Amino acid sequence: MSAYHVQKFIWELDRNRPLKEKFKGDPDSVLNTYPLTDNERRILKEVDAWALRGMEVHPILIRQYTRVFGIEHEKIFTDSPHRPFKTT
Amino acid sequence: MGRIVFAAGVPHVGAILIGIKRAGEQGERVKQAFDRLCNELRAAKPDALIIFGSDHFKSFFYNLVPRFCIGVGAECGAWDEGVLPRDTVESFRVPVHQELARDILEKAVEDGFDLNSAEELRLDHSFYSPIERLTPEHDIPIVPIVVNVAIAPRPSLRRCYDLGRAIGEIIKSRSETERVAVIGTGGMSHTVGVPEYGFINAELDRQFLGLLASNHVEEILDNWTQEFIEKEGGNGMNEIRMWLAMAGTVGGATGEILLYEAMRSWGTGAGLLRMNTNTAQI
Repeated sequence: MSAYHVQKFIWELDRNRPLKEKFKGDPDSVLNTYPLTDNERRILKEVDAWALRGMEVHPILIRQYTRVFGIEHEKIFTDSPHRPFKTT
Repeated sequence: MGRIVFAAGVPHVGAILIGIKRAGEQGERVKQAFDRLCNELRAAKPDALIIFGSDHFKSFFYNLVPRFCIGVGAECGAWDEGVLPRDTVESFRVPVHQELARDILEKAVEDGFDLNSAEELRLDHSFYSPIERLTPEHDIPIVPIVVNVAIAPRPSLRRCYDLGRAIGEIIKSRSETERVAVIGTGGMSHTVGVPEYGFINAELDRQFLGLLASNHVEEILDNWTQEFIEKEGGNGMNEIRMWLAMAGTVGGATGEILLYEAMRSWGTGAGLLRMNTNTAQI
């Protein structure tokens, strides 16, 4: 199973509205509770659909994750990475 | 013996609830076809509605992957997917025909189909979208059967069809006054979460509908490999398994294609097929 914890994070996020809101406000506080590598955290924060695909994240989970940020289905890959979080 | 009095294949994309206007005349035609099926379902006066649907990583994940799972609890709720209004999601309840569900579970397992069962099954759009179109009053108790079409290895097309056939036999073995309706939901060609989003193979969709309607299902079961389905129909075409399970319940029946539309604005082919249940050979 490739990127199991990345996929589990997306699955749990998609099912949990309060967690979703917390993540959008403070992504690190949520991501830090999962056993993810620094690279996986970066990919998730940048909403890099191509990288998620490269990690063999299931296409339905890629769709669900990008929908969290209001990304249209047809733009998942055309505008990737989406970088929804402001960087300091 | 019990009878299957209605059987149909229908789309389940959330757009059948929230994307009708966006799709213009095409959307209106889909709505009209659903309205027709809704009237036919009501006229058939079913005691229960068996629904073969799927799960899009809402109930199930890699930590637990049933190939088939039947809901046997008293009722089902719905997942929040941004399709139903949030207050509707919270209040959504559809009753389950528990006696029939448990009978199918026990007899199908006896027949060699190792169904999983769930007392607390929450439904995603593959169930509630057609429910809201066909039985919005929730006055027909359902028997929900989840077919794993998302996570490999998926059950084979033939296994899905054979499960349908076994359920058709179970219905036949029950009370002679019982009337049962069946739907298979999903499809047809489309893609989800891949760069090729928007791909539709209308020719393949029409071929599929034609083969089911003319009772040439064996051609699909014998020749449509997993590689063929995904290459020619996209990863969403895996959902034809629910249609094949539906067709199995009325094995040997012909059908009438009510509608096919390549819904560009929804990113999917959409077909509605009603089987002629009186031509079934079960």
